[in-house]
Amino acid sequence: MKGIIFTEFLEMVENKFGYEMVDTIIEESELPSNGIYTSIGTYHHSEVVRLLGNLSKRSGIDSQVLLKAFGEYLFNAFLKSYPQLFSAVDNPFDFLISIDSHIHGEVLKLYPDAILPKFDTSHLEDGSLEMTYRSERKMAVLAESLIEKSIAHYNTSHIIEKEIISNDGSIVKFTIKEP
Amino acid sequence: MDKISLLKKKLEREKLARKQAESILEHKAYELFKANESLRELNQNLESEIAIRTKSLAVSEEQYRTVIEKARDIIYRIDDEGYFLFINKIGIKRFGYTEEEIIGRRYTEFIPEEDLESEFKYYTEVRDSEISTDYHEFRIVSKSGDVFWVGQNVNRIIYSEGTVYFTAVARDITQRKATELALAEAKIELQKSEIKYRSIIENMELGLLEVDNKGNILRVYDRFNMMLGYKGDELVGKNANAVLLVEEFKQTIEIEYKKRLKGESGVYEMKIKKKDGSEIWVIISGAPFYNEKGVVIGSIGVHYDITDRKELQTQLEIARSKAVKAQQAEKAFLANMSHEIRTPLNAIIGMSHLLMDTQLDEEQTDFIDTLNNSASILKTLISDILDISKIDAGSLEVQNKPFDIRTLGEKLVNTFKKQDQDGDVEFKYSCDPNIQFSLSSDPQLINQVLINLLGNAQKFTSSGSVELNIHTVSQNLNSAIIRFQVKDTGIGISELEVNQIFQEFKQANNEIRTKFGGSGLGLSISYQLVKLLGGQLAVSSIQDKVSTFSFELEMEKSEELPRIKNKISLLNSLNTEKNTILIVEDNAMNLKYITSLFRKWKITHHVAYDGKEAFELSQENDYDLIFMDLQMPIMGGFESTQLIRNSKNNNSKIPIIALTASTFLSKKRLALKAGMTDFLSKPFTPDQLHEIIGKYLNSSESKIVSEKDFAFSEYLDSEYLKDAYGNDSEYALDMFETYLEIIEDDILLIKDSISTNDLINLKEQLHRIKPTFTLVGISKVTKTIETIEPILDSLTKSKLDQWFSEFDTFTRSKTPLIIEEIKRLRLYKEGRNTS
Repeated sequence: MKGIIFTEFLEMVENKFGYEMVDTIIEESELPSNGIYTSIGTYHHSEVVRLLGNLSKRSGIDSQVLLKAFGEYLFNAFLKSYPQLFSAVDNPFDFLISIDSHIHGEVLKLYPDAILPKFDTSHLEDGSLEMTYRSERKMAVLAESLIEKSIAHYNTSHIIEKEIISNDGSIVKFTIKEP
Repeated sequence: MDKISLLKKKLEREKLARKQAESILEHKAYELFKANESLRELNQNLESEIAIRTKSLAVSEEQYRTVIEKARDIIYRIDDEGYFLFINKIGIKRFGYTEEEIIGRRYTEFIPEEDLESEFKYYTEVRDSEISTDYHEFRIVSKSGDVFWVGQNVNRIIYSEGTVYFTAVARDITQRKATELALAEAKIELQKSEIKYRSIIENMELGLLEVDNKGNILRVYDRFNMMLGYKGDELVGKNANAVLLVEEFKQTIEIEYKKRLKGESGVYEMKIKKKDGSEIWVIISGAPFYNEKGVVIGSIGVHYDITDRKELQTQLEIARSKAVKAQQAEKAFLANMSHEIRTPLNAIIGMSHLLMDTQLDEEQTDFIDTLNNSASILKTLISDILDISKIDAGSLEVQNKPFDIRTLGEKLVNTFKKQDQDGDVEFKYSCDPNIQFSLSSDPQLINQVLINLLGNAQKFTSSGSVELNIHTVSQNLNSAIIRFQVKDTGIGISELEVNQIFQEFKQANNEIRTKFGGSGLGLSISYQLVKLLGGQLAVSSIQDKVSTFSFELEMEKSEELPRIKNKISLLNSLNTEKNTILIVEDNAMNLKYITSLFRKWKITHHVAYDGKEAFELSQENDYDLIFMDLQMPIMGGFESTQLIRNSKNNNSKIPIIALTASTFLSKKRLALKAGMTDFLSKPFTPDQLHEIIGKYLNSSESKIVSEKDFAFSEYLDSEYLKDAYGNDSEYALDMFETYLEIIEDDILLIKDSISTNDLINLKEQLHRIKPTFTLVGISKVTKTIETIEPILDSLTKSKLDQWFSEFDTFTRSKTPLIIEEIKRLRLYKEGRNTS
């Protein structure tokens, strides 16, 4: 998993719960990286699962809620670091399509060994966009959160319908449509 | 500030620094990616470029290989030591070895042994020189031992490492070489033969001279120098026209130069100057010569000295001119003599005629007969001599007029029959019945020849027969070849005599001369006359038995009918009572002869003794006719005639008849030129004189007579009949009566031929009868026959029957007209006789 996920996650924990919490979950998680991350590094995704699990345990907040909140936080971080990706298009559909067709391509140029979730998109006849999430990380909630934030960013009122295709959560279909 | 706040601040700064570093790294990584990406692209481009180039190289290599393999020239590569590295297919084929046998072997192994040294030298030179390309021709021995020539273009190629190779393209030039060799050999042969012929010409006393187009001397041969007295190259460079030309031949040489420039040769004679200024005659054969481009650059003249020959020629010319003058003198003498003899002879004959009209006893009649006969013989002799001289002088006039050959022969034979009534000789005459047309020639000359031949035959035949046979040898539409044959059963002619029988004054032998007499000119004249008429008189004989003289003449067929003269009617019609004739004659005897006849014929006449007197009389009196002698004292006949013609009185336009003993054509021309109307040759018979008077004095009256001419029926071809018979109604009557006599029988004969389908006889009958209808004025029948004649063979029997039916009906329908015409002609004849 890309380093930015870890640095942003720990930053969000520090901001919400204080550095003590950061230190605690790092210590409890017994991580191979010892909790030392840089955004340009790549780390095993189990580390974020462990960190999230321990945060949920320590804070008593459901991990899915935490993950959703992290999505919102991460979106802002992306917007801050890569504003050109957002200004290139003017609506959420084009942006969401560009994740798989352009943004992830750019990421792979920089980090050829990165393992990225797959988003297949297709336009439906009623004008809505179907977007299928495929990832062994099973973090569709994070994705959902990022999709919501994207819609909010372009100021439209699209709604998201979610359909679990694979029970283990590795394949989830989102349908973004007009309300 | 407490320590923790400071640490927090420090941590915050560290964190931002990390983020910055991460951002920078990410940026650098992106740039690296981009760089990698373009490198990869570049690499890809390069790879595809290489692929394309590799492919095109392969294609081009393939093309070159094909070219080399398929080339018609031998292509090979050898290294600097001369070992073969490559040779193409045609090379392998031509060398006759396999590729393995050639590659790796040295060039010297393929070169004939005798060429090795020179070829090795050449190879070494090329190898060691800086020459990059060179052309060379040499010989190669193939595996089978054939030697062939190649022309080779060799390229020297130096590789970067310093290795030298030779690539060569060679072409088989064996054939060209062979041609070159043959040419070279021919050239040598040519040179040899040129030298040979030059020396021959030099030895033949022929002087050779070569000049350029302007006449500048290029080369002089020894013999030419000798001819003109020059030495060595003395003449070379000088202009031939300036040095050698004799002024009077300037034009000749100019013409010859022009001919040379056109490439024409020429042979001419001229004089040229020797060194010492004297001149010699040479015959020059000049011919142009050319440069290698075929342009005339000068001429060569072969000179042969003909000075001696020219001198001989000049002498011969003088001699010839003398001979010609002598001949002319002889002719003049002959002509003069004939005049001198004829004039008195004319008088003798004339006087004897007059004597006959006087009262004579038997003895006197006998004397006059003898006198007349002797004079006639003398006249014949003179005529013969004159004929020969006329023929020799080419002045005999050959006429061409239509005549009836059947009648001519018949009359002749009849005349001889009458003369020989008491003799034992039988005169026979036969004429080809197919000759139904008149022919054009000179009947008088033919007559003369036949008289000679018949007279000759008669002379040498004491008993037996003399025959005249005339028949057709061949004929076409326009002309016929007629054969005349005179055959006798006389003494014959020996073989030796046959050969010289036509020579002048040659009689068989002295015995004959003594026994038979004669001038010996007759046959010679006949021979010459036949020649003039376009034939050849031939003789064949069996000694003591038969002599045959014959000749063939080709004559034109004539449409025109011969005019039948009727002398009696002419004499009868002579009406001269109102006329006055002037006779101009200096010879008293001749004058007496003429005036006696005029008195007998009751013709008024005046007499003048010379031309001057004649002119004076013509100024005082009106005459109707003048007889004028040509040779007279004081003033001749020509001059007098001119004066009369130029004067302004009635006599200037009357007929003037020349009287002369000369029968030469030239005299006749002169007479006509002087303004004379006609010509009467002395001696003349009373009939001849009468005829000519009738001819000229009746002309004025003939008009009156012609008004009284018989008018043919307009139902017949009256125009034609008038033309054909003129005022000779008796002849017309004769023809019409004959027609009526024969026509019935002829039609029956034709009918028989048609019914028996005898086409041969039918053709002959139709052809024979054809002209008859025209002569009685029903030419339509003639035309009907002419139309059917050429298609007779192709006609069916029924068509022929139909034609005959029409022909028969039409012809018979005309019979009443013919009978009517005969009646009218008879009435006309009676009327004329009584008037």
